[in-house]
Amino acid sequence: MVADLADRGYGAIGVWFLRALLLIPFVLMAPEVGSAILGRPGAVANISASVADVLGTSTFLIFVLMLTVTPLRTITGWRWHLILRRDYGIAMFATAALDITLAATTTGDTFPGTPLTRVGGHSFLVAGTLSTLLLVPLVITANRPAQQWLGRHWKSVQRLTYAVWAMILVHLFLLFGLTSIFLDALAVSAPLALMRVPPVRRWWDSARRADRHRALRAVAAAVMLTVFASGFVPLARELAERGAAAFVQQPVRD
Amino acid sequence: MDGVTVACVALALAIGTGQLVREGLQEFLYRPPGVGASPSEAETAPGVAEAQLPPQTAQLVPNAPVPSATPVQRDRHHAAHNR
Repeated sequence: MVADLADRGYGAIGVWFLRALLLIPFVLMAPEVGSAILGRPGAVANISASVADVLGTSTFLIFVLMLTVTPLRTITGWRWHLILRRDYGIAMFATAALDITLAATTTGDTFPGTPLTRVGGHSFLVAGTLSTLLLVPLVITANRPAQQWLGRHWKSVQRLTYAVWAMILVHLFLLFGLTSIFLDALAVSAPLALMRVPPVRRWWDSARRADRHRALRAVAAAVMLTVFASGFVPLARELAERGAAAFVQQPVRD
Repeated sequence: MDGVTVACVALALAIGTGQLVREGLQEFLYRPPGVGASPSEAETAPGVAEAQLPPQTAQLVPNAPVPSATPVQRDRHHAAHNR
């Protein structure tokens, strides 16, 4: 019933609203990039200070929202949002590609050397670069012709998403250790991973279809939502603070 | 598509291995100040850190006057105001 209403009614509005959110990282970085293109003094240093905080965090948040699409379908039965999985995947690649491009060209103050040093000169940079490059086959095949061409093999290509997920967590662990952003990333990942475990997914799906175990499902959903929010909210707040500073071209320098 | 995946992984590993060979393991594993959980240079450099500290209390309070050899009789009311 709720799923039907969502699919027919506000689904289209929700899809366009959630698509519009994907512009946020580009809007936040636009003033600094524009200043650098115009050759204003200090603009490159500003990008260097902002790029990881704004585009790195945005990439991860978009990735997390993309991973949320399937569990949300399992839990609620909604279908209106399924198209966002592809949109968010492509947007994630665009954000990560801009991140790595700006990092390679502007972060010489932090990572002296060549552009290759800035994307692969340290262990955490290699993990980040590898996770970005692994998005290439995913994006190339994120369309219907590729799906038809690859047939059953298409799903196995899309499973690279899990390798990207693992590499992002390695990247964040090498950067932050067992603190702050890495723990937030784990908190966000835990419920998304749990809902992908085949027996859990199958049980939830059949219980929802048969309208059984409503109280148990409600409690479990509330617990998972709480864990998810405990990681997602600090990351979103971090993006809001750092992004606002980047937008007014007064980036937070660590 | 497997070829594209292998090429992407090989590219990332080649960049990383090249940098590892050129810079050495220690530099490869090192996290520069201000990156990730590493404290920034301003927090670690002793000279800068000291310069950022608030002045010590002793620096704010002027030295106490050296008492003269002969005690001076002072007005009690005036002395109370100076406390």
